[in-house]
Parts: sequence; structure tokens; C-alpha cells
Amino acid sequence: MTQNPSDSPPLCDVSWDEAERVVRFVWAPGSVCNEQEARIGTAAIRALGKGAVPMLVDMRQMKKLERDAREYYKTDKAGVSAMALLVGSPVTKMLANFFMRTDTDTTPTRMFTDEALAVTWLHEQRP
Amino acid sequence: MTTPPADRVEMLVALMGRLAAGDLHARQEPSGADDDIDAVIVGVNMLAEELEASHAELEARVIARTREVEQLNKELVELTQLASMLQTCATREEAYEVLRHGMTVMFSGLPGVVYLFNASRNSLERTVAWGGVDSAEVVNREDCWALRRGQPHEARQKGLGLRCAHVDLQVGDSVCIPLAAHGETTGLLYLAEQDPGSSDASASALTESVQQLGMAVGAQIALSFANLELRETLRLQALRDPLTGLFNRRFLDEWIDREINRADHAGATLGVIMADVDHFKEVNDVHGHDAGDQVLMAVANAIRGSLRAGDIPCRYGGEEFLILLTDISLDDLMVRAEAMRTNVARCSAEYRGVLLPAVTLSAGVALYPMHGSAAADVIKAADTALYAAKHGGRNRVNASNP
Repeated sequence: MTQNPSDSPPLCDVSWDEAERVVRFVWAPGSVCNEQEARIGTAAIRALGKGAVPMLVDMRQMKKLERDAREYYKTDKAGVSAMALLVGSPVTKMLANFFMRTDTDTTPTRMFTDEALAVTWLHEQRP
Repeated sequence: MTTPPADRVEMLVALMGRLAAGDLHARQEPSGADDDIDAVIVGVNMLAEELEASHAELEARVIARTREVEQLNKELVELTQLASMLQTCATREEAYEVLRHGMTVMFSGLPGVVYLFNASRNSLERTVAWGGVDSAEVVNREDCWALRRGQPHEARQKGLGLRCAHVDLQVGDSVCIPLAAHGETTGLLYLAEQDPGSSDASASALTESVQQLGMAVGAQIALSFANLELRETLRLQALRDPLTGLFNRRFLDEWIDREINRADHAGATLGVIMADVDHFKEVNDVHGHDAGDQVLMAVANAIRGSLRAGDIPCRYGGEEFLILLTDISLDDLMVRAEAMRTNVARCSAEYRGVLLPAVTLSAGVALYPMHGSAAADVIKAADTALYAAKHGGRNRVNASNP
């Protein structure tokens, strides 16, 4: 789990899935992502040292994606090669949809409700 | 207690109503049910955030643009004022003073220099400087890329712009703008940021818009100085006799009253010599008018060579000359007139390689206020004395009778 500067519990968990060869980025239940959290997340991805690899973002429990974070992600996605957004509830679907529609970056990004399909799609995105 | 869906939808409609009315700060908290209604609330909230951000960005752009327009308007007014003032200047010295003031106002915080070509046009001299710029006093054409290329040359500290040889190494970014009018380069406008190490808070940056202003000002300066030069040339042409280079009768008519006033104030005198080339008609009749012109030029040179530095020789008309000599006694006036007569008798003129016959000069002298209380009276007295000299046998000087 990545640790934010305050004493509050970590909001996201970033890990390397060796079997699937993807980065797993899991947002904690009820997490609100602002720019600071977004920066912590991208720093954690870079710290893995895997370079341009696909990433699975599990945002099924996310509560809110604030505007400053959305703006930040337009310019920095830690160099990942593709991004699969795993959603569940109508709210997270809305968050993911909004994020994809307003993102001007060209990194391949898709929304999934099924984790296996998301991982398969990520494999297909490998060069 | 959970809010009924119908109420939540009503609250959502109210939220959209506030947004539609322009309240872009309006937001609604989702209920936490994580259902479709919450999803729409989250979506509307995010949409409102985007609208608010776009609105703020547009507002910031409008403010910035308004500032630009205001600045442009201010610069336009200053430029118009500078142009108007420069057009009013009668002398170059006046124009320098106007320019020094104008440039300090228009380019406050950005030091600079206006260089103008010297009379021989082989180098440019530092004419007006402001802002304490450290720059060369004299610039050769080869030292400046802008003058060599005939277009503005920019030298950035971070960039490829080559520095001109006349630019001090200690300044920041700089630009040289050639001053050109009527197709001729007349000078150089040099603007330079202050030393980057300087802590002067009023220092300005050499932005694109400042350079644009520099070019507009440069064009105005060039045109103003060209006009000033043209006016000066026309003025001199209007007051000089083109054949001899002496002042003409129009100049004399304006000038003599000033000299009379000056003499009155200083309690001084003003001498008048009226001179006429003897038998000049014969020269014209025998050798032609072109030969006569050569004789007149030689006589004019002989007269010039007989006078003091401040004396004013004029061609009064035809072969007649009138000379004003300030603060002089009658005796000295006679001496000068006699020297003139002698020099004219000694001078020679050639036409088409043939030496023309020597001519002589008769002259009448009169002194203000001794021989008249007004300019016309003294001139008349000198003319009468000349008439007497002619009657007395010519080639002689005659003083007016008191």
C-alpha cells in the first residue's frame, strides 16, 4: 500500500503482478483521488521500475476522482503502455467514463467490469 | 434514514437548475447508495467542475487580453504623442530632448540607445541614451548585424542569436533595430535588458510586444529625423543663393531687423556694406552668362575671405552684394570694405579653361545708428554711398555722409 503524507490510511495499493506481467493499481474503498494522491500513485508505479508496461486500475471501490487529479493524469500516467479501468457500480462507471472522455492523452484506455477480460485486453496491448 | 429516490431526483433537478442559471459552484453530495442516481449526481458534479474551470480560464484570458489591449492603447497614445512632438521640433537638439524623454517613458525599465549616422556617414554616434545602458559611443556598420542585414537583430542569452560587436557582454537579451526612412538607413535603435544579475525591480523584459513597439517607434524616429533634415535643407535652400552659397535677400530682410534690435539692446553698432561689381554687364555681354556666373562665384569667395567670422555676406541681387557687420566702428567698416575691394580686384575666374578678365568692386558703407534710425534707412545710406563711389570712378569705397 502507498502511504500518503498524513496519518490517514493508504488510499491505493500498487504492485507488480509477475504472472500476468501487469501493474495492479487498486483504489481503497471510499477513496477520493485528488492531485496529491494521483502523484503518490504515479511515483509508486515508477518505483516498481518496470518501464512502459500495461496497468490494471481497480477503481471499483473508489468514491471520487477530483478535477485536479483528472488534469494531472492528462500529463502523467507514469509511462504505462495501456490502462484497463475496472469498474463496478454505476458511480465508478461514471467516474471512468468521464475520465476517458476528458483525457486528451493517447495512452490506450478501456473500461471493464470483468477483471479477466481486462487482463486479456492488456495482454493484447503489448507491443 | 435514506432519502426516497423521488426526493433525490428532485434534488438533482434542482442542482441542474442552479447550474443552468449560472451558479457554477453548485454541487450535490451523492447519497452513498452507489446507484444510478448517485452516478448521475457524480457526473453532473464533474461536469460542473469542468464548466467552472473553463469559465475561470476564459475569464483569465479575457482579463489578460484586456490588459494587453489597454497596454497597446497606452503605447499607441505615447507613440502618437512622441510622433507629434518630434514633428514639432525645429532643430535636431530639440528632437534629441523630446526623444530622450519619450523613450524613458515608453521603455521604462528597459535601457536603450538611439544611434544616428554622423555627417560623413561612416559610423553611428550615440545620440540619445536612457536607463543607464552601458553601450559603445560609436558603432561602425560592420559591428551590427541589424545594420548589415537591414532588419532587426535579436540576441538572446539562451539561444542562437549572435551578439553584435557593439553589445556589452554584461547585458541580458538585446535587440538592434535599424532606423530607415525614404529607403535610407539613418540610424539604429538598440534595446537591452538590464544585467540579469541586477536586482532592479523596475527592470522590464524584452518581450515580443516590446520589440514590436521598438519597431514602430524606430520607424517614427527615422521618419521624424528625415523630415527634420529635409526641412532644414529646404530652409537653407530658401535662404541661400544657390550660385554663390551666400545668404539671399529674403534672409537679409528677415535678419537685419533682428540685428538692429540686438544692436539697440547692446548699445552697439551695425555696419552695412553695399557693393556692386563694376561693368559686370560687359562680362555677360562679351563672355556669356555662364562666364558671368563664374565671376560672381569668384567675387563671392573674395568677399567671404575679407570678413570676420560673424559677419553676414548676402547676394542682394544680380551683381550686388550687401554685407552686415555687427558691433563695428566706421573706421573698421571702411577697412573691411577696402579689403573686400582689394581682394576682388585680385581674384580671378576661369570659364572653359580661359582666364576671364579681372573685375573690380565699388562699395558704399553706412553705420547704424549713425547713418539711419531704421534698417531701410541704413541700407539706403549705403546705397547712396555706393552710387557716389560709382560716380567717383568705380573701384573704390565710399562712406555715407552723416
